[in-house]
Amino acid sequence: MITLQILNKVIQTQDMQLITKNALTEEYFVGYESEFNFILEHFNKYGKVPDKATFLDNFNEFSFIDVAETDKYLLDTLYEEHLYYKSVEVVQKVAELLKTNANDAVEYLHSQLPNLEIAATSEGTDIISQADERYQVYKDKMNADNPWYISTGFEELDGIVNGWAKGEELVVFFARTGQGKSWILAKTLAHAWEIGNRVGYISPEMSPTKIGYRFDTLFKNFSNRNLVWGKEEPDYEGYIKDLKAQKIPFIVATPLDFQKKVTITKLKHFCQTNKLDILGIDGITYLTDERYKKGDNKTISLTNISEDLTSLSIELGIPILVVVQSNRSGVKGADSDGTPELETIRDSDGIAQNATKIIALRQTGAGLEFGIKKHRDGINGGKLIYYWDIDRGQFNYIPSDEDAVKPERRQKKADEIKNSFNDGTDIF
Amino acid sequence: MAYEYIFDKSKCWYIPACAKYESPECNASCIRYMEMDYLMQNSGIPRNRQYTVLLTPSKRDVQAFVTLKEIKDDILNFVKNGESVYIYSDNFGNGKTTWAIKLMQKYFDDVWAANGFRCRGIFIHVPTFLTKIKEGISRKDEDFETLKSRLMTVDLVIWDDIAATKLGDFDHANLLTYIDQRKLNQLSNIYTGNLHQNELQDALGNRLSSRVWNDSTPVKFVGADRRGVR
Repeated sequence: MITLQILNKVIQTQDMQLITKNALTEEYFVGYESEFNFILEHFNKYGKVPDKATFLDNFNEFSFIDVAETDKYLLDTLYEEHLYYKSVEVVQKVAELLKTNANDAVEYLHSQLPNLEIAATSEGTDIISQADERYQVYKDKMNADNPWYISTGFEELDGIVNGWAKGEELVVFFARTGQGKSWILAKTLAHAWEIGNRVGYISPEMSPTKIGYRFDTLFKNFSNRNLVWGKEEPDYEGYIKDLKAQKIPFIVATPLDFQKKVTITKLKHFCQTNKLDILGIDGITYLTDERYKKGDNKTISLTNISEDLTSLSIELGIPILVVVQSNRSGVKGADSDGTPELETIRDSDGIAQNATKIIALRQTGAGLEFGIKKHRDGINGGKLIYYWDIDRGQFNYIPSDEDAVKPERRQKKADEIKNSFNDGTDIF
Repeated sequence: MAYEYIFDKSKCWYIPACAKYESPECNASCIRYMEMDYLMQNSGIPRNRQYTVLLTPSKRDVQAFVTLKEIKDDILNFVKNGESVYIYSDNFGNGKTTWAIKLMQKYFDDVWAANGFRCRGIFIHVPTFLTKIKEGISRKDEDFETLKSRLMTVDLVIWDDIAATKLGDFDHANLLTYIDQRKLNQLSNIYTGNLHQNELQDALGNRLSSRVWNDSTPVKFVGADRRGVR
């Protein structure tokens, strides 16, 4: 009945806005698809809604009724009815799956839930009348007990990107294999933990023990080689005793903890259960696309996943950091200054689109170069170089005339470094 | 060969002067060692010529030494202003190449602290370079291609033995392209050779010799071969 009412109202008022403004499609007009399409095509062709006579000429059995309801009522009822049809289909499939495997059934249900969102008349947000709300958010940011941004662990990088925002933040680290992406992820997460944040680390390739050794190296500079190879490392035992007394968790999970299928729904549960303040994922390609449809390629899946991660970040109010591998064209020659470009992110235009910050990494000289390829709230294109003692997990900023650090700060650092070598005599 | 950082304190350029040498700070994370190693290895200065050599001028070359010392002491501005110098003499072995390298090394010494692993200077032995260009026609060498692309942008280039052989048309065109581009981009050059202005014209042709001679400060050594002299 509701679809009949809407079609009647459109013809009655000769106003197409009810359909166009709310982006209604034939999907909503079950049983009246031809009538809907006729109105739409007529409108597109002649610039007006067909009148009663024209319509009757084509659909002589159509019932004309008077419609006095408001647009809002009609739309809310239409959405509810539409949701009903879609839900029935899902519930039936879930019931079918439940007969054999409850895990599969629930997983399917989770995957379909985003498609079963309760729609309502969409009116948007008036940013003029809502100005007070954002002023309040701004004040909260200024006066919050805990900073709104989590420091990255790299002082100079903080100076450029201002840290990781608590919410609406999807950070991508990308590089060719073997450039140190996972280490950088571990470093920034270890720092987040050190300053009081509850951390989650999804590690598809390494065990929690190995990540633990990396954490120890990054936190207190123990030789990673000695820890991994089981060689004598002074003070390690005492450090472990002290560490255990810490109350804030750093939780590492592998795909096994997610029944080998890491989905956004499971990640959400993981974050909520552990009350995480920040989440790092060491490889976006290990995630499973819950919105996957037959025929979707990898690019579509990764786009879906990155969209869902962004939504998750917004919903939970935490930054999410992911590691992505660049493809072979991301390899730079010895002289091709600079980190790989965005287009080299493997299979993933969507990732670049959804990310709020993208940081490319590259080994250069004796240093590790950070290239800021995307920064939604700042300037793109800056670079930074750190000397990285991989065994001890130490990073030292190396000033460069071309880096993105403020010139006066860079100069100060360069002078400090130079003055620390008090040679007294010229060598050259 | 792609650059690889290897720390070897025994090969540090600053051993005679560095207060940190042999101290706990003398390790692989020494930023000066890192940057200088990067600059030196990427410059192509032969390893055995990377270390300081005490040069004592013959009496007749004192003025040339003074001129070069003035350039060395102000090497940052010399490079910044895109200036060039042509060091030449009739004789061999009297310190032209050593001085050229010394100037480049002083430049490295001035810029390493905010360098960020950038190649800033290249040493080219011109006859070898021209031969390699010809070889490169049939066989691509990635390192050599890198070197050629750097020649257009790097702050300072030493063109050693620039007119040691008479140039054919192909050599001339190649050399002129690089030197011309560098002049257009106001980049600095240090040339060494054994030819005077007129001889240079014969060997390099008018255009190229004009770039080398007229756009440079000529510094002439007249002393004898001093190789092996301590």
